[in-house]
Amino acid sequence: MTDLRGWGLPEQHLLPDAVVAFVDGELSSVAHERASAHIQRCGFCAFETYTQQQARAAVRTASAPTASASLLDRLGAIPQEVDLPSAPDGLAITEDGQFVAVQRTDKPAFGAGPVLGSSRPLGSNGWFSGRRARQGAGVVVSGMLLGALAFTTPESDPPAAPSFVPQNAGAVFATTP
Amino acid sequence: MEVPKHLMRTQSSSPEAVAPIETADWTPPSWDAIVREHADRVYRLAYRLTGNQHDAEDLTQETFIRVFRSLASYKPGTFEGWLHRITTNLFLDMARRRSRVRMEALPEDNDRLEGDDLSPEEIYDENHLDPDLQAALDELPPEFRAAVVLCDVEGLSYEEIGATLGVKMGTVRSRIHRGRQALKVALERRRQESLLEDSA
Repeated sequence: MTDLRGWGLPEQHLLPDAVVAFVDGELSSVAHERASAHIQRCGFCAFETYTQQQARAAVRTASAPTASASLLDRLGAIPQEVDLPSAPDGLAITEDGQFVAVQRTDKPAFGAGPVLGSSRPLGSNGWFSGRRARQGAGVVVSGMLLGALAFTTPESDPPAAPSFVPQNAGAVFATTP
Repeated sequence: MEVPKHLMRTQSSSPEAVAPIETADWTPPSWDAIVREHADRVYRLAYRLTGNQHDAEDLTQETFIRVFRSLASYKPGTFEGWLHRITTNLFLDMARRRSRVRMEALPEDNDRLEGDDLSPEEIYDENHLDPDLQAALDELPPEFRAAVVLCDVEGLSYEEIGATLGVKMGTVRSRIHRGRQALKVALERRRQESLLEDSA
């Protein structure tokens, strides 16, 4: 019986990568021909190929479960039950639920702010301190969190930050350990 | 007289020529249409990934909630790939969270608890959805299971799997290869066990 765990394959056998790609038809036609010829005369590789084919067929021929009626009802009701998130200033949510920075287009027009000199002295006039007095510390905490997100997220995904790029969706997850 | 091409283009600079090409002739489908068309596909993937109806329904619902929330930023032409990515990444996230919890709660998780209290749904699944195959799939580490399921349930190419999982082609190949090998061993073991049970 062949040792299935034998990963240190000698040169005369197909590499595992080649075996799996052969089974899935992912080799170039030249490489496929060569692998096929090898498998014809190599029992070890023939067995490896057979193992891959067996497992592949077992999954492919399995019957497919279908969504239940109650699940379909729940899915259909999502628009009524899910609030669309109102994205914080300068942030949007990607399809993965990640915050990304967006270009601000809603800046107040120049001159729309308070009259010069009417604001509080420097140091007591921040967005946080203004709100803190009125709405309590919770706002400060969430504001700081959002600030942190705004700093970190675009760095991890610089080219895609403002717009949604599907190809990168997995990469965000891949970086988490 | 023939008008030079670049002139024709500037002359016909109507609003639709300015609009991005991919959004010009695309209208978003209704939510019902999206659910009808994609629910079974997402559920099938979710079921083979999670291994049971309850988690698969939760995962499917969570996927569609994400879809609903970010429909506005969806670009036409990648809907299936988009669904695969959301479903698979949510699953991997969930699996990582659970393995963390489980390792804290049960240091020795090698002895799996099997077939103890089956709900009616699970009994249904037992009879209809290749329980041996699913149990063998469940034994695979989540990353390997995801690669095998995307390849053999969803029929994705290696390139598509790499894009879905955010890994390189070599990683895709080795995960599928080793995943299938472990799957075959597990299926074989289960077959032997059932033969022994039958003859006992």
